[in-house]
Amino acid sequence: MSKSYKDNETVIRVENISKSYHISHQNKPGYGTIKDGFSNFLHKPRFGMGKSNPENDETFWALKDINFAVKKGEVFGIVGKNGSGKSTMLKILSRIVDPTTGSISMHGRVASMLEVGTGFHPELTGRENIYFNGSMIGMSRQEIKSKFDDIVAFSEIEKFLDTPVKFYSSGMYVRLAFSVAAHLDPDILIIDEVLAVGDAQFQKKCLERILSGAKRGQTILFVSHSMTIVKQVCDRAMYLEKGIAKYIGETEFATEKYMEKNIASVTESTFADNPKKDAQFKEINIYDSDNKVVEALDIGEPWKIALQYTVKEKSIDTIVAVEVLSNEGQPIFMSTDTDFDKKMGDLEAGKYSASININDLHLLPGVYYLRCSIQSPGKVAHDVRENIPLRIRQAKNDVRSQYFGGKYMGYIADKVKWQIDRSD
Amino acid sequence: MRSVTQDIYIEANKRQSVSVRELWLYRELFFFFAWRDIKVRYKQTFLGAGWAILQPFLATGVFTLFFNKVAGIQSGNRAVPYAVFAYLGLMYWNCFNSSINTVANSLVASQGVITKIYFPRLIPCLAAAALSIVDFFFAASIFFVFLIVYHITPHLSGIIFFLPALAILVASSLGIGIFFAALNVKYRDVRSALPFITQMLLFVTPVIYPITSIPAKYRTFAFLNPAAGAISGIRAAMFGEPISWIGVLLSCISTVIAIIIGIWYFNKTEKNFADII
Repeated sequence: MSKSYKDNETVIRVENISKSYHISHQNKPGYGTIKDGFSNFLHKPRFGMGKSNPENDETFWALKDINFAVKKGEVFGIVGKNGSGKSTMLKILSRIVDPTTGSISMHGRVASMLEVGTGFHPELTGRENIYFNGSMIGMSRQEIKSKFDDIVAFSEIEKFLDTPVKFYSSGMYVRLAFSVAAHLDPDILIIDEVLAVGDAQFQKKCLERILSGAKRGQTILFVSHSMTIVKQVCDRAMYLEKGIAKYIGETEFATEKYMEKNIASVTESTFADNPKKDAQFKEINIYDSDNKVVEALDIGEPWKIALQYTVKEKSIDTIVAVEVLSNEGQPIFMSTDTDFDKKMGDLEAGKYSASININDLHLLPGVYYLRCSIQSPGKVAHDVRENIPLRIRQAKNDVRSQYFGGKYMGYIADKVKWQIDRSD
Repeated sequence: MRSVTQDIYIEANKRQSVSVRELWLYRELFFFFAWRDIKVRYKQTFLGAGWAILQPFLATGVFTLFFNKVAGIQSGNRAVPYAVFAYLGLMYWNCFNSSINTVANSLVASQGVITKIYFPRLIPCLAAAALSIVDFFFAASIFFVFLIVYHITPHLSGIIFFLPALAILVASSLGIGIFFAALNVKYRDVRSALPFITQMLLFVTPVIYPITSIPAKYRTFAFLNPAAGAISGIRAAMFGEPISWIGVLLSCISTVIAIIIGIWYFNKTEKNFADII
């Protein structure tokens, strides 16, 4: 997303932030009992009554030397795997925990949403919770009063406003909590994953509400596992790995780094039998031109998708389809077993294996996903397997890696011939 | 108001947690916390705020039966029936006792919000004390019914000392309470130990018996307990007996000490609350 900045003022400056935790292997980290405290005290070396056990204590760096600055009106994303330190970063920025080293300065009114519905009490009614939660996340009573009707309308729970929230469905609960949060208008907003719940439509509505704030000059720090949302909303992003900022800059690159690291952990090429399904995939693999199972291909390299599927009961009017989706979830290519000659027909019970040779689909470097399905179009989807990652690598000698920061727009890598003549 | 633009500066190991200015900034949140605690306390109860009255009322009945009738403890003033004497002491004691215990548990009870939102961590503690004050006023309304039933005219000094005595108890219970609240974050033993400690404290405080039952040479020590000075002081004032100003002064001093220790320990440990709670 691009927008023009009114001023280039830096509103968040993070310098040398580190956070360490002591892990004791003897006890659980966190709170203990007085007995533990007392025995630790006795065993402290300076007390001279025992030896400390260095192998039992370990310093764990949740964050190490993080530096970044965010300008006014910018949407800054933080991505990384679970345990990479992003939540710790947000907690430090939100002043919930103290950093071990470093400093942060923030200019303006800061509000953070690390959870939806913080402080919601089940015994209180929707109305009461709006007030309490609103005040909790930083709104004044006056402000809540003036926005109250908007919040209620946004949440679509008017009828249940005076019902204790313990009687709410989880969907209603989340909608109400979102609505309060979405009406908070600070100068700097810190959001963590909160958009990951609720139905898609409502999520979209919230995202739009929050982004409209960014357009008005609000600065947003955003953490999410959804690369689609991060790419959609963030101007810049930081990729964290094991507490270290591996990349700070363009969102596209940061999300790609995340995908590269995550691919290995999400890939599953064989699928367990599900007795409820009439027809299902057993195995889906991607082969490169050397006939090896891979997850990444060079740009322009011919490749192959191999499918193994079983059909338990004869299935009428059924097709098998594969699709390639962009990182943002946009379908960009589709093929089915009826592509050439075969008419859509019945799938007899049995085991099948299909090999789909793809020579002519040239994708630009980036991360894509495969979606494979066995379906009777418009009637029933017997089995769908999605999010099978496919990464297209930049070829070093490819001329396209030299310009535009190595990043051509779009998905299609086909080269076309330019006939250029001088016309002067 | 918090809506005023303000700059935030975070630096490692520089957190200043107990700041009057910041507490003032967050005063609305304090009211919301207190309001929520009061609402929640009496939701889905049949008697509601009646519990605030019933507890000291029933306790007075039991005390009168066993300590007065059976054990023969007297109010120390012929004009004052034991029940009135006991109720007055108990309503102050209950406020002190419940304030210490709810304040000490307030941080652990708010752990969900403490790990998700920043606010001065003293706010839930203060709100917990406010809850005890509200309960006190419910209980106090019945005390005046007692006075009418027993045809006792309260002395003017009793009316004057009514709120200052409460203030001493609330202030000292806050000092003690926030110390234990901070300790409770790390050591959950507090949750089990504290009610026992305060229960024992009841017996060394002149609630069941008059302060005059304590031999004069030990009374100075008894007054180091802030509840002793406040409770014996309000009783003396209410029933027109001579007030032990030395006792009240000693209780005030120990209250100040309790607050200083409480805030000092709270300040020292507060930066780790969210990490270990």
